[in-house]
Amino acid sequence: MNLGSIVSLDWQRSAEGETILQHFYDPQTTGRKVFGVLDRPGLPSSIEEVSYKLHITGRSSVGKTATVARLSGIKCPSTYTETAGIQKTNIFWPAKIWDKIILFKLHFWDAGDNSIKRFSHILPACKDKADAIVYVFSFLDNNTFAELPQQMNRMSQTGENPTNIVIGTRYNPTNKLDVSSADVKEFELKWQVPVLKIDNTWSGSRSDSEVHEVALLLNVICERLWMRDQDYLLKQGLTR
Amino acid sequence: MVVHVMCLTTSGGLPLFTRKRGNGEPLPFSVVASFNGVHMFGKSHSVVLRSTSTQETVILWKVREDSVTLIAAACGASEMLLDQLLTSVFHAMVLAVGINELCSTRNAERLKRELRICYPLVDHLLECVEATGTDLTATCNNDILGLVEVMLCPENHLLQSLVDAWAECMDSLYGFLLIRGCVAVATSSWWQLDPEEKKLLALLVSVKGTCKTCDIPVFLPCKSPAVPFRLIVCGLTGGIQICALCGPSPPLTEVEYVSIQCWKGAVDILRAAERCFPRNFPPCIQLDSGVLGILLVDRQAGKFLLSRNQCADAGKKESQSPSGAHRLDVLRTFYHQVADTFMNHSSDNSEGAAACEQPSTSAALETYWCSEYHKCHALRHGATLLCVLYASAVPIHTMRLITQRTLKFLTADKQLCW
Ligand SMILES: Nc1nc2c(ncn2[C@@H]2O[C@H](COP(=O)(O)OP(=O)(O)OP(=O)(O)O)[C@@H](O)[C@H]2O)c(=O)[nH]1
Ligand SMILES: [Mg+2]
Repeated sequence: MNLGSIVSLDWQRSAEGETILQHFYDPQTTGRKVFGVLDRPGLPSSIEEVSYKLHITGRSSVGKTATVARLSGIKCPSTYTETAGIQKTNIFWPAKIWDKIILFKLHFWDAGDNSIKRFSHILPACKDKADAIVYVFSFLDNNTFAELPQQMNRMSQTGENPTNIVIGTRYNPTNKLDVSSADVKEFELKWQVPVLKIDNTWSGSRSDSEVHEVALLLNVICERLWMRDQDYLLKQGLTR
Repeated sequence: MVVHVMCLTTSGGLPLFTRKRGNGEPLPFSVVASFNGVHMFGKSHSVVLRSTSTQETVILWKVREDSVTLIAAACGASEMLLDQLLTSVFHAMVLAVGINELCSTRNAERLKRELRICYPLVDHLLECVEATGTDLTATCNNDILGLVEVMLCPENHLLQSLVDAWAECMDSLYGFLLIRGCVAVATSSWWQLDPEEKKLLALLVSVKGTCKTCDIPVFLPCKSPAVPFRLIVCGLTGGIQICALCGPSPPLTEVEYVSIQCWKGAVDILRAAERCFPRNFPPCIQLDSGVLGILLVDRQAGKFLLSRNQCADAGKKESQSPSGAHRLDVLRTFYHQVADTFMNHSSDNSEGAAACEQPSTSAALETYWCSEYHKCHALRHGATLLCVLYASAVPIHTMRLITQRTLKFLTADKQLCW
């Protein structure tokens, strides 16, 4: 896997990237803008928009909701509240692919793990036509990492062939991590899936640096989705 | 001030949860156990222990469905308020897990785990009691238990038809539009729900972030305590959410798609309506400058409107008059301590302490309070009660005239949909 071969991973730091990103900040709060279903970033309409559904999965309290909040630039409270039912967040993200700027609209489907167990309609709704499954584990709990293969097997039994992405939460070098980097490497090689690292704690004042801290993750997610589309088109072409 | 709520299984006395709000130490387990113990002791002697009080603390017990025991302990809150609190807390528990789960406490550990999901809601209910919190300036909470907060936007009559049409597309009778956590308009069936249900549904949506689409299983404490509905929420723009109670369909993907179709032509109306916040009634209604704040309540419909009169702020310096947040707090206290107690005419058939002490026929129509800094005046007309906070300089007879006029302004205008 060579990440960044399609999506430019540090484009957001370039002058062009910074200019585009201005449309994603809220001038009043200087934090990131949150978009309702009727909203769209005020980008030139010439910029192509692509839309994907991602289902984020993992054990209760592993950090799914915190991760989605972090990726969308929202400060989420540090006290744990279990997610009731499905909570869907739309994240807009501009990425540079080859020489083109593409606006990704990422629909993150997050459901509380206990709700999934109690109500049968929730999991099917999340999995239905998902373009990607995002598996979440915690770097401070090796069990959550060890059960990934099993989870991936269980999830991949649907026909739609979503792409897989893994995110490890609580990744903070000052923590004593329970999951070793060698194990992570081995996992990446064996499953051909990138393992992304995130720290969802919100330290003090984070304004625009917040975006750059999660830019890598979002870029890699966009790249995986884009590659899946290319593979799909290729296969369609061959079978025709 | 601090308020605690404890919940235990009635049969075994196993703690299910304890929550607290305000500054104060959490209650040690031994205290919780003694609270429960003294109640059980009474029960074994055929005595029902309802409440007790010390100089500053009131303690109240409530057993529901013969399966869960709820205990509230608070300083600075009335028994009536705590009674309402426990009713609402129990309803929040039903909303989250359903009545059947609550009645079968055989598996207490599982129930305990499942009840975690109602903590955000319960915490918010506690905040309705614990008003003067640690940080008055921050999210000052001026919420009232059992009543849903509404907003009277000038655009409400336009929004009404949009909500009705959208709810029909959602195949739902129960649609409501929330602006900054306040109900702007709702379908007529939604207004028929029990006030507690309306309150909890609106609260549940507003404790979530605004710009999300959600699909939350909810049991309706009065209407459907055993069979869940789907509470559908769609964040439209800014602080505006459109919500409905649905059956198995439509799926969430369709909810979002249809919502965009229904509302994309109304973005300007929605944005204009949101500008009504935090005044919560239209700028075209000018109130007398002596009016510092208003609280309009309809107990029957289970709704209230709370606002401070901002044009009164404009002229004066803040230091002269109580600050905005403080004003609303004064109004709310006035409502709880005077207006709600003496003027609540609704035939409340619950076993609440207040209901059995006050015969409902002798409800007052008008009352007032005077203090060094301000005056409060309440006037009831049918089910509608208006409490007004005045600057202390306003003479008592003038108060009366202004309150009467204000009540008419706010409730007679059909466009506002009070
Ligand atoms: N220190 C630290 N805490 C985290 C991190 N990610 C999540 N948490 C905390 O872990 C707790 C659980 O996180 P959630 O995101 O709510 O868990 P969830 O996976 O959504 O759980 P369910 O909704 O029950 O399925 C919260 O208190 C978070 O603040 C992280 O990267 N670092
Ligand atoms: Mg969650």
